[in-house]
Amino acid sequence: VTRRPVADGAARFGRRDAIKLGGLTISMAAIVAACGEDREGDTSPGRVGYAPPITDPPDYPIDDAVLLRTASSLELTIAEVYQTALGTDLLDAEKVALFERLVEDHLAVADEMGELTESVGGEAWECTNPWYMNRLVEPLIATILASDDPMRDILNTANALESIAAATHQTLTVDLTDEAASAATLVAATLESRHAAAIATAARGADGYVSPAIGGTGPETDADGIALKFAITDRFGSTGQIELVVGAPDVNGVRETFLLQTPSLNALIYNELEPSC
Amino acid sequence: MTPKGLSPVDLDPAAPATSRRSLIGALGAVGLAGAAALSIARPASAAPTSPTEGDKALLSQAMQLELTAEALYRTALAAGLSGVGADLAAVFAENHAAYASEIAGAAGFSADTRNDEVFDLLESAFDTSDADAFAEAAHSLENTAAATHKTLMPEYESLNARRITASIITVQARMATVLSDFGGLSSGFDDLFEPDAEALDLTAGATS
Repeated sequence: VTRRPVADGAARFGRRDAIKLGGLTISMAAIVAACGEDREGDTSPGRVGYAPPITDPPDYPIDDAVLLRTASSLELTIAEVYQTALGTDLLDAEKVALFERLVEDHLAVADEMGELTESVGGEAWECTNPWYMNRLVEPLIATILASDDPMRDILNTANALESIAAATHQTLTVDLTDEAASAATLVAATLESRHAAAIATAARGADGYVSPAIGGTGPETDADGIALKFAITDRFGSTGQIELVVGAPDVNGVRETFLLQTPSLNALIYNELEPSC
Repeated sequence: MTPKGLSPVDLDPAAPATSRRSLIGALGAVGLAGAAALSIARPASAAPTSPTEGDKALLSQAMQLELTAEALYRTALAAGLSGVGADLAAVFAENHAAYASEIAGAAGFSADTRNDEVFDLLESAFDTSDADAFAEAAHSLENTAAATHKTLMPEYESLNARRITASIITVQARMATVLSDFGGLSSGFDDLFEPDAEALDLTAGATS
């Protein structure tokens, strides 16, 4: 039996080939079966190199109070970042006025979320979000303060934080079962969307109005290769992660990248958590 | 920033109900609000994913409003708006067309009908090549559209209607903020972040 090429380029196998392949398959199955017996030890996938240990998310119930406590924590976290930015003396008078207003708005939203938490039977959360503070804010601020252009990084960070806060409330307004809480988060989503847009226009004027990505072209970058921020980045309110590049380049010209995401299981403020402040 | 002044766009607010049509709309809204109040007691998992018949009636009105907004931006472009104003009008027209298409797709009908009453009311304000006049009219339109969707939000029973609406409102708020900057319309942060905007009463059409 000869192997003949067929019109589409695939090979046709004869009876002898089938017998050979069958024998090989049976042999491999026997080897795999032998290796699979009496195994002991960790069954998780293997890991190569150094990586922090994986923290399993808590297995606590999620209700409206948890979602609202998380919303409060996120608002207070963002206010904390802005207060740090105001303390750097890097902002001009116009930006100081803007950031002071942003702090005021976030504290007001946090208060409202706290009141709503109590109205649904929970305990208001009056601290920042420990997950975001440890994993995002602290390394982010340290990187910005050592940056070659901290002003650029502060504005890009503020735009990203407002967008992620708006996305969080946009998600919560659908997830919350309490109608008053749902309505309040929609108002917060709207307010924080306006914040994000105002920061982009304050930073870049008309150049910061609309992302060219909406028209189908790729994202624009500045002379340093950092993605530019815009007031309008998508046709629909996105709840996807936001990439934030900040800080001075290292010896290879690489800057620190932070991925901002809406709160998930590991960042929720469960009712069982004790205040951290 | 310059003072906002009076808006050239005088949209019919949802309340108070002074005309017969708005009264009918208000009555319709009361009926829908009653249905929404019952739905609060249901767990979120019990909410239907796809739009209900009640949702579809409201979504149809929302879709028509979006097509109206698209047509108004195209009116400004046809009037000779140029530069940054034209760039914004072109993108915003596409955004509103996308909203109409998304709403129609979720509800299972065609995005082919605008709200002529609203269009006729606003057409003259958008029929301009003057950048400042365009910014003022468009700023008012975006804030009104966002407020209108916000009013409809608690009336929706399905998750998809609520998800789509929330994702539209947040971008309309951004568009309004951009237009405010473009036209120099805000006299302070209160104007910028908490603009006065009243929702259109679309429930009359939804219940007729």
